[in-house]
Order: sequence, then C-alpha cells, then structure tokens
Amino acid sequence: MATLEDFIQAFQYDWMQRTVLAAVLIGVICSLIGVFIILRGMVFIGEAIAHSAFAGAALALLLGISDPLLLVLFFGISTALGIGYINKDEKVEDDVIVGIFFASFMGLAIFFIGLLPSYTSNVQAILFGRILLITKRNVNLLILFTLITTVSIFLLKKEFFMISFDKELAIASGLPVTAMNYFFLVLIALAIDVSIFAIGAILVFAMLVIPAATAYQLTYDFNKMIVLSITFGVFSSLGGLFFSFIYDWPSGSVIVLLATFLFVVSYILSPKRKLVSTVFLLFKRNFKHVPEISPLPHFHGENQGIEEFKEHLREIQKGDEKN
Amino acid sequence: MVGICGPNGSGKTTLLKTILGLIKPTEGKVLVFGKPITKDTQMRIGYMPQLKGYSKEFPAKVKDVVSMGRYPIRGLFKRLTRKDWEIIERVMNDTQLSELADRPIGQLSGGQFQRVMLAQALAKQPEIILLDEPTSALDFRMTIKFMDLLKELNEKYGLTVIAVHHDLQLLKDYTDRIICIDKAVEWEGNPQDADLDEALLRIFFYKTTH
Repeated sequence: MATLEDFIQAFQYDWMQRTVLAAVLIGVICSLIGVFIILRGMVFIGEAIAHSAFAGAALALLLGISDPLLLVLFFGISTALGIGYINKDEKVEDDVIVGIFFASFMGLAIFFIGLLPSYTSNVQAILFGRILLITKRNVNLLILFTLITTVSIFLLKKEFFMISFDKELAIASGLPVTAMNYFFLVLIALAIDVSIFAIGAILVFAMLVIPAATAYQLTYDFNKMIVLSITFGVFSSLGGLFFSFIYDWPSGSVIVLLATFLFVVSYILSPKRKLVSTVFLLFKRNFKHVPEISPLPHFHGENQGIEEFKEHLREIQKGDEKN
Repeated sequence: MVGICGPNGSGKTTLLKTILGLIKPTEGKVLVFGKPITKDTQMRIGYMPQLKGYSKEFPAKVKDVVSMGRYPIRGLFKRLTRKDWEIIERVMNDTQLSELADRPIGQLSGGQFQRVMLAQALAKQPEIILLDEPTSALDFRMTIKFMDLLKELNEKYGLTVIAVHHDLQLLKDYTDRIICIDKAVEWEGNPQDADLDEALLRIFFYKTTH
C-alpha cells in the first residue's frame, strides 16, 4: 500500500501528471456526452459501442498489434454509424437493434480472445482498464477528442437540446436532425474509445451514464445539469485514480463505484423524488398533536342540520387554533 | 382560421405532417406558399404537435422550451440574441406565460403545457401555424380560453391558424373555414353553410368504410 505522501510525491513524475490529466479528461468527455445520452434515452447505445470497441481491442491482441487504438476506433465508429443507419427510419425498435449489436460484438470479442494462445494480462487490461498505465499517445488523443467533443457540443448545444426534447419538432423546424444524429453517435464512439484503456470496456459505459444520471436527479436546469454532470464525472475519475494508487485497487471499478455512490446520494436527496422531505414529513406527523374530534351532532331538519354542522366545524377549527 | 376534421384514421395528422415535411408524400406534391417544401418553408410554419408523454423530469424550463422556436431562425452554432429573447418574452406575454417563465415544464398543468407548446410555435414568428388537436387534453373552460387566445392572435397578427379538432362545436364557433377529410377532402366550406351538418353526419356516421 502506498501512502498519501507517495501519491503527492508522484506528481513530479511525467506518468503521474499524464494519468491525472487523463482522469480529468475522461471525466469531462464521458459525462458531457452522457448528458445527451440520458436525455435521449440512448443508454444502451453506449453499451453496444463499448462492446464493439472491446471486440476491436481483442482483435488487435489476436493479431499482435501493440497499439490497439486504431482498431478500437474503427470498430467503435463503424458500430455507431451502423446503429444510426439501420435505425434511421425507426422501423425496428431501438432496443432490438442495439441489443443485437451489443450481443454479437460481445460474442465476437470472446471469439477473438478464445483464439488467443494464452489468456494474457492484456485482456484483463482491456476489460477492466488500468488508468495508471495509460500511454502518452492515448493521452494526446484524449486531449484532442475532448477538445473536439466539448467544442462541438457547445456550438450545437441548443440543437442537441431541442432534439433531446422532441425530435419530431426539431425535424419540423428544419434542423438537420439526421446529420446531427450521426455526428452525435460518432462523438459517443470517440469518447468511449479513448476512455476504454483507462476504465475498461465493461465499465466505460457506466461513466457515460452515471454522472449524467446523478446530475439529472438534482436539477431542472439544463445548463446546471451539464455542469453538475462534469463535476461528478471528474470527481469520480480522480477519486478512482487516488484509490487505485493508494490501495492498488482496479481503477475502473473504483471509478464506477464512486460514481454510483454519488448517484445513490443524489437520488435520495433529489427534489424530483421528495424522498427526504417525505421521510421528514412522516416524522413530523407522528409527533404533531392531533386534536380529538368530537362525535358528529345529530342532524334534524335539512337547514338546521347544515347550520349545526357548520357550527360544529367552527368549534373544531377553534380547537385547532388553540393547539 | 381553418379547422380540419375527420374520423380517426382519416389522415388528419398525416396531412399536417406532410405539410411540415415530416412525411414525404407517396404521390403528388405538396405546395406551401406556392412552393415545394424546403427549409425556407419550414421556417415560416409553426407547429404544435399532438400532446404526447414528455418526461416530467426533463430539465427544461418554460422559457427554454419557448426559445426552441427561435433556434432554426438563428441557425446552427449561434447563440440566441437579445432580439430573440425580446420576441420570446413578447410571445410568453401573449400566451400568459410570463409568470411561469422559470417553472420546470414537468410542473405545469395540462393547459399551461399546451400554452408553452403554442408559444414555442409562435416564437418562430410564423405566417402559418399548424396545431394537432391542441385542446384534446383541456377541460371545457381551458378549451374556450385557448381558442379565444388563438382567435386573438389570428386577429392581432394576421396569423393563419390551421388546426385539427375533434370537437365539432369548436369548429363551428371558432373557424372561418372547415375542411372535412376522410382519406380525401370530403367537404369544404364555411361554418355558416347550410349543408355542413348534413356533411358531418354523412362523413362520421353514414360512410361505412371503416
């Protein structure tokens, strides 16, 4: 186990600075894209692209290519475009298409791994990610992709927002929805493909979904949702890096577990669920003095009855006020 | 103000969507302002879709949704200008939404939400506005208020209002022209025309094509 001092001292080394930068960038790129994934309900598209990237990485291992990034990018982007193309007429349900992609790429990945002469630690690195071993080239690409993603999302923010709200309305308004859809899918693929080596193929999609879902619990304001999502994303990935360094825990899983923890807290605190206020109210109600209700008086004639009843209500009211 | 009516499945929504360019006609062509549908015609038509299940938790406020009407006018990559926000505010004022501007859309009543969608369509400053059953989710009183509002906009800004309605009484009270369709135009005329009732009876009851 390393100590906190080791952690701080490590900052003087290039690899550590690189790793920290990577953690921050992964936090930013995934949770920014994630906001639109959550709002558009495209969660499993992220998962399918992640698995195709995994298949790409497995193929690279099988072919003995030392840097699998190119193949990963190729698989990821073609899956993204494929999903977009098959789904463009929305003749088949989203779920079905995505499910088929998802399963078949997992099958392909396992097939490639099965052909490997031995189960190497590289496989595990792709599956679970090792942020501490991230390469310089990977970090450079991460910087580039984060820039591309952030700039394009901010330039096209209002259009993506409108498509998320009501796609049909966006088309009727004359927005180039189809083109933007493809573009967005490619952005998802880029985010996944550069993050996969740090947090792993299995967990990368959690990073797309959880910080944004956490932010979604806490606000009704779109801009705040973006800011919160990025904050949670960066916090989780830096935290994951920290624990991974100190305790030698697998970085990917710690990142995802931290993000999940934040989600649970924000779900409980969410103004949209009113869990806290409901519990608080129950608590309050139990201790509130309940006035005794006197039995209803007998009613005689119609008019007389109503008068008597009103009088009765007034008395109860007075009693309430005294308490 | 134009009202469109017809039985379920008669193609009312399809007609609106074709005018909007959401559906391509299988045969024939659609002319809007005397021209085929382009991005330019889409800019000049406001659209208020049929009420559907929006997520109650979607992070958008009333003013955000209304401002969407300005997006296509402003164009890609550009932020809304002060002039856009002036228009948005005026539209919210016209639709009595000014006080609700910062309310999340999930916390609106049905009538308020329909006004937001109307304001969104108006923010485009269109020449024509298409509405698909705008009052289907409203109670009687809100319906009257909504239709009065449309009438006022029609008179104030000379806006052409084309709306699909199921309520035949509304058609008679609030439109200048009625088009009844059932796969094809079955009847067209003014609400005062003597043969309107007969035509409605024929289309809705005696025509046994369904």
